[in-house]
This record gives sequence, structure tokens and C-alpha cells, in this order.
Amino acid sequence: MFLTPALIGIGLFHFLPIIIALRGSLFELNLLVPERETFVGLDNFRAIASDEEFRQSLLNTLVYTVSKLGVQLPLSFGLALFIEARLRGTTLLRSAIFAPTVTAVAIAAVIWGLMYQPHAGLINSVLGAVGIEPQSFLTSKDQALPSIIALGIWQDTGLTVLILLGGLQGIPREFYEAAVLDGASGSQAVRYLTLPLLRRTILFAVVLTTLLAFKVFAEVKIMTEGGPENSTLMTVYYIYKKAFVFLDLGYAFALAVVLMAILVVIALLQGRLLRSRLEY
Amino acid sequence: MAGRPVTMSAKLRQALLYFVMLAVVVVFATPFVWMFGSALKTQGDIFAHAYPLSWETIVPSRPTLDNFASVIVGRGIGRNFLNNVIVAAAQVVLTVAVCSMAAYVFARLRFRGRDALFGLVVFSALIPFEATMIPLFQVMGTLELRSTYFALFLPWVANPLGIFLLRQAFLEVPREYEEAARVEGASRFQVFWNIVLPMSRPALITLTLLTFLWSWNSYLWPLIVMQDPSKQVIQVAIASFSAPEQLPAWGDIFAASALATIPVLSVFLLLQRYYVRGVAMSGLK
Repeated sequence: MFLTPALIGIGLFHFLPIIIALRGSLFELNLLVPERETFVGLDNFRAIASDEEFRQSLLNTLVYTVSKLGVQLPLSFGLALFIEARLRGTTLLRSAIFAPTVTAVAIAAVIWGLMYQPHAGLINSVLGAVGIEPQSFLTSKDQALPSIIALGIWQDTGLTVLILLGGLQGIPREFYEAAVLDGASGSQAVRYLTLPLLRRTILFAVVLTTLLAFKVFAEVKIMTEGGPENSTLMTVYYIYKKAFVFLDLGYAFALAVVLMAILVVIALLQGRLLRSRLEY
Repeated sequence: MAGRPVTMSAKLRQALLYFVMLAVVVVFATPFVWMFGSALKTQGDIFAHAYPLSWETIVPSRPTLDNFASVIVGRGIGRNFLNNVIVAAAQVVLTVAVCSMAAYVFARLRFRGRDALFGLVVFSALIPFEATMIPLFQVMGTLELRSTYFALFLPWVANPLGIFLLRQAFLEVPREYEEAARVEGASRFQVFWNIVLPMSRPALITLTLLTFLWSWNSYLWPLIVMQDPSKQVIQVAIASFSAPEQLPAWGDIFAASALATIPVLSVFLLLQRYYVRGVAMSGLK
């Protein structure tokens, strides 16, 4: 039957792992000898509740999400308005901001890692040209996370621009004509018409950015390995480390279950927004 | 007279706006320009012109293909590039085949439990791979697929999002065409193949493009599941020879990164329209 390959695939590679994680989270397991398991009940989850590093990773994710949104959303909104106005030069702008979204995050992390290098990196060269002394960026406890956030903004701005553009194109042109007839200026129209009508779209962009923050991995693995002093430790990298560096499989399963719960809640929120996006 | 200051300030505002937008273009394009520019420089030139900033920091004054020769001959990056091609090709073909068949069933056939099954598909889309990668690694071990090409693409072939996207497109195909063909004796498969698929071309191209990008750009899963360096994808290979404990081979890194990026950038520029559509529909990159 037509459906069989899809059902086998989804069962084997989507549902089976969920079941394995749920079951495995109740055991103490070593990655290298997974057949030797000890039932420990909810001990793993109790350990997670008091796990400082895990808490740090959630905190970093929160900081990452909020600071990224603070820069990326206003920037994306301005860019979307500019693109929607179809002025000259729009095509170039579109290509420039969308190109990072299709580039592999691992490659972006490698290149940005070199840009952040204290001695031969491009960013310190630019800073030097305007008289700022070299910064250490990725090896500094205070600058490492902002550096990774900057890379995230570079990569994902195109994504939020696309989403906002979708929202803008959904606003009927007559609304603007009516506003102009009533004597509204351009900035008034944006403030009192566009922004309120885009509320759902903006909320959707917020949820999506949060979801992406929970998936951050390559940047951390390639650029900082979670350091310095866990200042860039993010959740997925922490799970990866527990499983493949410390070989503590049961604990990694339990962490995965917690992450799943968080992500399902976010995704359900996203699904609701996606479905109701076009209603006014 | 009264209109004059207004036009002046409007012109000034427009100029300012253009200046800001130009700055944005420069900032967003710089990492690419630096990467491609440095890939064409000798390692000595890269470091010699790094500081202080000059036009030579970005643009190669004596362009050379030495770095490309070095990564291809010295590091065998061509092999990794080929691995990306093999995996992406298999993943695209199988994803489109499997998802389109399933989507057709969900869009057109009526049977008991269909909506419950579709609910399961939608639910599975809610759990991202990052949360299930460790147990999935176990599954690949049980199936004895670790370190094979299959491990790299097989888990993603039944793509819930792809099923969802295509079902949406199939629902928009007018039923009358299909019914007319059925009356004239066409089989279900003939209807699917000759009518539904051709009429859903934009959605099929969108899924092909998105699947290609996901596959080509993957990093975390190959890093975990592929332990055979000769079958490893290019992203993991580049990341491993740019790791901190390695000698700083910047020329190699730039050239290999340029090689890994050229295919996605060209496909994207070619099919930008479909990419925009796909992201708008799925909310995913």
C-alpha cells in the first residue's frame, strides 16, 4: 500500500526513539555497554532537578533567545518593510539576508570562528581600523555568548524577514488607502495599523526563534565547546556531552525527555499560531 | 514654496534609509566575501594582510587556486563532497517518493483510522530530531546501520513535514480531473502519476529544495552516527580540521568551506521563489 513506507519510517525513526528515551530515562546505562542496565526509577529526573549545569544551559538558552529577539525582530521588521516597499536595490538586499539562512550552520560557525580570532580575525581588524583595541571574543566569559548570538542573528534574520513578509502581504491594501485618506502619515500607519495587525505573525516569529534557540548545537561545539566556564553551554550540547563524552546514557535519555516536553509545548503553541495566522 | 522643505527632508530620509540598507547588505555579505576572497589567497597572504585593515584583507591581490588543490589532494575533501552528493541525492529522491505517496493517501483515500494516523504524523513533526538523537543512535545500532550511508539519510525519508506540505498541495488539485480519468478507466496509480503529481509541481520543487538543503547542511547527526571518515560529510570534515588542537590551516578551511557552500548558494539563487514559499508554509529553514 501507498502508506506503508511512510508509516514504517515514522514508526521506526520517530516514535521508537521516543519510547526508547522514555524507558531508558528510568535506567542507569553506559553508552558502551547498553545491555547492562540498572533500574533507578525517577533518580535521573531528581538529579536533573538539582543539576547546576543543566540549569545553566537553560539560562543561557533564555539569554540567547531574549537578546537575539531584541536585535533580530526590529531589524527584520525594518527590512521587511523596506522589501515590501519594492524600492530599487531590494533584490540585492533579499539575496544578502537570505543567503546566510541556506548556509550550513557548521560552515558558518567555522568561518565566524575565524572572524572572531583575536589576532588575524576580521572583526578585530575592523575594530582596529576605528581605534578599538583587539577583543578576545570566544575565549572571554563575557563575550563568548554575545558572539554566538551575533552569528545566530546573521543566520536567522532572513527567516524572520520571510515570516514577517508573509504577514505584511496578508494585510489588505485597502486598509492603507483608508488610513491615507484619513490623513495618517507613513509612520502612523506602521504604528497603528501594521504592528497591531502583525501581532500574530510577530508572536509566531518569537516562538520560532525560541524553538531554534533550543536546537543550537554546531556553533557551541565548533566555536567554544560550551566554555569558557559554561558561559555558552546550551541544552543540546549538554545532552550530547553527557551521552558521548561521559557515556552516561540513562541520564542523557532523561535530559532528552525533559527537552522533548519543553519542545512539544513550544511546538503546540507554534501550531496554534500557524493555524490562526491569517485571521484578523 | 511650502512644499519644498518637505521634499528635501523626504529625499534626505530616503538617502539615509538607503545608507542603512547598504550597511546591512555589507554586514550580511562580508562573511561570504571574506570566505571566498581568502580561499583564493595563499596562507601567507591571509595572515600578512589581516592587520591592519585594508582592501587586501578582503580581496585577494594575487589570486591562486593552491588552497583548493591542497584540500582536494592533501585532505581528500573531494571524497567528502561526493558523500554529500550521494546522501543528498538519495534523501531527496526517497523523501519525495515516500512523502508524495503518503500525502496522496491522506488527501484522497477514505478509510477507518485515517485521521488518527494523520494525527500521529502531525504529532511526530512536533518532536525535533535534537530531542531524539540519542535513542535514534541506539536504533541505528540495533539495525546495524551505523557508519553506513543509509544511516545518514534513511531516518529522514519519511518526513512528516513533507507529507503535510504535499497533502496541502494535493488537496488543491480539483477532484473533477481525477474523477474524469477514473471514469475512463485509469487506475489509482495512473491518476496519481499522470494528474496529481504534475499539477502539484511547485510543492514538489519546494520539498525537493528544502530536503536538499537539510541534507546537504546536516552536521550533528553525521557527527554522531558516522564513524567512518571516508563516508563522512563535508561539514564534519571541515569542522574537524579546523578544531582548536589542529594547526591553523586557514587557507584550507576557507577553500573547503567555499566548496561546501557553492552548491547551496547556487541552488538557492536559482530557486529562491520556492524557498520563500517553503519557509512561509513550514516556518522552518
